[in-house]
Amino acid sequence: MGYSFLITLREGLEAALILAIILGYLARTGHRQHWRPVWFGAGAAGGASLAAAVALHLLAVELPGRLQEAIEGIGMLLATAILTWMVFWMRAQSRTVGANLRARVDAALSTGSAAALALLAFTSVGREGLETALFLFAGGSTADSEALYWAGAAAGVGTASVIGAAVYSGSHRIPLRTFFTVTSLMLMVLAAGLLTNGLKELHEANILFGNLGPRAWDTYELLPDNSSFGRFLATLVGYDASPFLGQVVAYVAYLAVMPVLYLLTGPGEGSTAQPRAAARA
Amino acid sequence: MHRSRFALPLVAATLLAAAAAAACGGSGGREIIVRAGELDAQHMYFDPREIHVQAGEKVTFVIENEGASDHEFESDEAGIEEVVIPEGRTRRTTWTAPKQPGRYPVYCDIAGHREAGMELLLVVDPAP
Repeated sequence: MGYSFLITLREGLEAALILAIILGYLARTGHRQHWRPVWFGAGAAGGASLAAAVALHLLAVELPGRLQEAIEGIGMLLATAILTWMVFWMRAQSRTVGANLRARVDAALSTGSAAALALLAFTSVGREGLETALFLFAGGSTADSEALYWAGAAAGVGTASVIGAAVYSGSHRIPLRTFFTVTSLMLMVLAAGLLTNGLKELHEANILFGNLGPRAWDTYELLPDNSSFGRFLATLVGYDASPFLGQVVAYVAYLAVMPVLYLLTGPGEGSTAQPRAAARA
Repeated sequence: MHRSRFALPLVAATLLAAAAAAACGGSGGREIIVRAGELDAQHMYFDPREIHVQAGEKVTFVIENEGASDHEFESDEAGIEEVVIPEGRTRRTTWTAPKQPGRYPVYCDIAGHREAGMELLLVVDPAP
């Protein structure tokens, strides 16, 4: 039970945090009506993952590891791109969400933006959803108590949801400017982790990034990346005990450049310079 | 009561619980050495090819990659999560056998490696 609990908690936590930030942002900027595409994206990904895993399990078809890694890797890089876009989009929006300018935001969410948010929700849930469901189905039949095994998996999803709800709830009680800054930083860290993990997945799938250079270091003895805590850190911040140099360069470059660009694109209410992605439709 | 006060502590407590679970797992049980590597591009191996454990037994697989490329050690069927073993490195993973006897494949899921021979049979024997 503990094992299945940890797996679903770990894989669900990242998606729950991203969803909590998106929903919190939409609520605080008066775009609650756009919750629907977000929930639709998350629900579609969850349903599709579960349906595909059940079908493959019932048909006893084994999905090649390479394909699983390719799905994860592409999903991670896609999520990195959308999260990056979202940080700057939020930044542009935050300029107009001052105490006196809130009304100007109302029409700023274009159809394209809503679709991108739905896609972000879809990739957040679906990226690991299929692999997790496949792993759980395969392991469920060998568990000593199948009922406890699935109860643990459900409890993991439930706990991740509660944490997401707590973050969402908390986001309503901090000042708006602080909310934008904190959530933008969180999204940047999550995106950097997704970037480095995505590079590794596609490297392992032998699809892209065939040469990521030598291993930069090895901290396995200090903190194994296949321990429970190591796997949590891998999911949330991209921890890898022995990363390739290419992963390290990408991670550091992302976290070095993004805050600078973030600062350069603001601040100041009423600024007219807005990223193209944030422009009104 | 403001629930926001609990948001950060809740996340922190979850991570700490995971860390505690990792740190307080107790003994890893019997250690089983598994060597991994390549004879050539078409022939790769796990040594031994067959491992016997008792039902309910807790064991730690110590996987030594003596080859020239990365390898993996995993089994969805047995509930062993993927472990990547970089070339020349050793990685460990602890696993508890089911209480029912059974036979499970353990393999390297890197493209082409399983087909090249990187699969072993994990046999769970009845407890005495």
